[in-house]
Amino acid sequence: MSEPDSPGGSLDDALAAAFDGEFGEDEEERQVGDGATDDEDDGKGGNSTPSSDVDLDELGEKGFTEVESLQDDVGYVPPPAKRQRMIRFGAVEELGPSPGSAAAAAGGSGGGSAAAAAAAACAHPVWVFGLCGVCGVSKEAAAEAAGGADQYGQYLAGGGGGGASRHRSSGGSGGGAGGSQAGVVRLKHLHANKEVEVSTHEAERIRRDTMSRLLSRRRLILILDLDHTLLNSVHTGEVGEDSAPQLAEVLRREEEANLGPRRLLHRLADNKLWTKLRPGVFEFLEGLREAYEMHIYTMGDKTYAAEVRRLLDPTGRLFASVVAKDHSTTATAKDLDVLLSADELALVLDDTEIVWPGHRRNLLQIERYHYFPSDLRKWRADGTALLEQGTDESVTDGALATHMRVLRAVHTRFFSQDDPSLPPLELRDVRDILAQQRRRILQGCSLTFSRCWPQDRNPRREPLWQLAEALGATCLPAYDPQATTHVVAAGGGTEKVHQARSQGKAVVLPAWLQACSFKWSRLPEADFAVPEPTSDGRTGASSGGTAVRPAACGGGSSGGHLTAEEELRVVMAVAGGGGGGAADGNREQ
Amino acid sequence: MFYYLTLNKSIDIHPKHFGPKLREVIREKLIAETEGTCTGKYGYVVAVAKVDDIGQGRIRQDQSGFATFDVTYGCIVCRPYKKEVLDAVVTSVNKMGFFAQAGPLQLFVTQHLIPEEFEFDASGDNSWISVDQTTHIQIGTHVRVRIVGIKYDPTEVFCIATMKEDYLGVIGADFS
Repeated sequence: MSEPDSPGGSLDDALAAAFDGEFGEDEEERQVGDGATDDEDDGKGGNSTPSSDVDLDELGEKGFTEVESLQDDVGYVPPPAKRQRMIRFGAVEELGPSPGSAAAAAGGSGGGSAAAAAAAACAHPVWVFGLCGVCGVSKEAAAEAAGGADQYGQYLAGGGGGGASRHRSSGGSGGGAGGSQAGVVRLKHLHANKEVEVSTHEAERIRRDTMSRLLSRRRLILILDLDHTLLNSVHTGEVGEDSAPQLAEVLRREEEANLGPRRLLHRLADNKLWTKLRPGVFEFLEGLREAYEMHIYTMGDKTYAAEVRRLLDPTGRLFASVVAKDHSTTATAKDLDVLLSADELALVLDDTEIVWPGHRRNLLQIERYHYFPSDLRKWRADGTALLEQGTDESVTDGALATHMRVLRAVHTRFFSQDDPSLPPLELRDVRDILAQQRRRILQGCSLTFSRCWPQDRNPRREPLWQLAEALGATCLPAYDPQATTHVVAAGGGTEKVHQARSQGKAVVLPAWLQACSFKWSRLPEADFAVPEPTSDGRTGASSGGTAVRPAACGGGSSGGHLTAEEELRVVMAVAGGGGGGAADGNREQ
Repeated sequence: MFYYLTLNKSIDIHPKHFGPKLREVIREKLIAETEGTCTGKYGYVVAVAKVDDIGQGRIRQDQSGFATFDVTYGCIVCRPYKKEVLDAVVTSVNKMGFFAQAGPLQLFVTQHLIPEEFEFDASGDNSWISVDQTTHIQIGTHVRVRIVGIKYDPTEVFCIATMKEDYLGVIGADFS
């Protein structure tokens, strides 16, 4: 390799000697090897050629055929597989001898259905990893074989046309009997990185199975949200300077109490998150585990969801499934379809209503849990969070305890045998029972509203009205001296308020309705009394609930007892008092 | 099924490695590029056993400075076959079936291919329990299944398997 004409000849020689044998001859050999090496040089993944030409497929085939020929030689016929018989239904349908041996000899291809022509007519109900769950053909092969015009074509068109994450075109409602499988349900939460696809028909079948299984075990389904429902999480960066000593104090107190894994304040995600579990959460989960099959459904990402799951349930046996943001079918809402469970048996516990557009009746709305001040700031400009106040919700009397009681009551009522007002078990709907429970809260109250919304709006469509009716109260459009028991007023000083006061009826703020809804009981009206118009806007004894419903009402037309300025002050005070009082209202007594 | 094969591969080496440790670098690069990959032809490369021969390096003529070495190596591959019976360990259970793992292979057995006497039970851990309550399929259970369909990804092999034939089923209790 030495080129005598290059000036650095000796250096070249030295290098060449050092790499003796490592490097081959130059250009000429490179060209010779060019053709061969060119198509093998993309480095990654399997462009190896065998130096001894071994073909594994051939080997495999040889092996299997050898076994079969040996079997033939000896005259051994494998008996029809016993498990092909449908024992469960009593009538024993044996596969006939010829399809039986054909099925056995064909080995793995779909022993799925009991029909004699099992091997041929696989309906491909489930796709996992791109393979049919029953007969093992890949999706592409199935598409080719079927020729596209029939159910598989529809199937793939439904799946393909479904786009990224939308699916279920016909919504599965009355989803065509037998063959037509338009639309696919994609389940992403079953396996870490591969999704399972189920045809609508199959999804229906699974739903029915789930229903009968749950009813026979006397369990219902409960879906839990995480953030602000069972816990409150913030980034460590957001926790301000002033909160640090308080956090340290809480940590110290929990150390002393020696709660171990049941402590409430945790750091997650390599110390980037502070997570505070809501008091009473462990009692809640344990108290309901027998009665309800629980699932987590959160808008957080899946690693967060998995970590929280470990916190809440170290044994890992409590939650049947965990659905995170990427597993939802739509990005901004939650839906129960991914759980393949029955809507009639499922209840949802969540703090926000808007993420459950199709399932409002399944929802139990719980008060939002704000422990960290920085978190509270995101929702409201005022108010003090629980950490700042140094207190926390009560374990026995807080939101979770209340809801546990309600859920237990619903469960008992659902499975009660002797109640004549309920339809038979298979037809019962937990949503109806929930609504009935809710209507007990304000049973017997007749409400009239004042200054809660502008005069020109239809009162029956107002959220406050609907909330009141959901709670079981009767709503009256006008003040009726005989019938009205409460006047709900956002501001004092109107005709209705005066009349009510003169007759000794209760005059309450709209926050009372919301608080009753959160607490599932009729709270004392005195706590939410509307202040006298003579006081200048202080809310006195008001300790309202959290989300104060619109105090923004345009009630100027009904007589001006207050000037516009004073009215504004009343409204702001109500809103402010509501926020600050929220935590007060929940504090341990 | 596992095989020991002797295969060839071309490895490109950056000039910075042209030093006394060149052979080691080639070996490491080979291992990094082949272990864990899989193809339809050979299945999943589980491990490189030994490097038989490293050919003479040829310097590429495209001004990159890289040199290409032809490496012949012996490796263990795992190649599943369609009707093969193998033992697997259950990794997760859900109402549509269960996932199992057999070495580097991931298997899924759907409900349709689980014998009729098993029912899904969601109380406590997810599991499939036989009607007479004697057999449980949970995380950690050893099962014997037959492969029905295979799919190759560049880095993983997935299979669909059945448990619905004679001599297949649960063969060991919970080992998790």
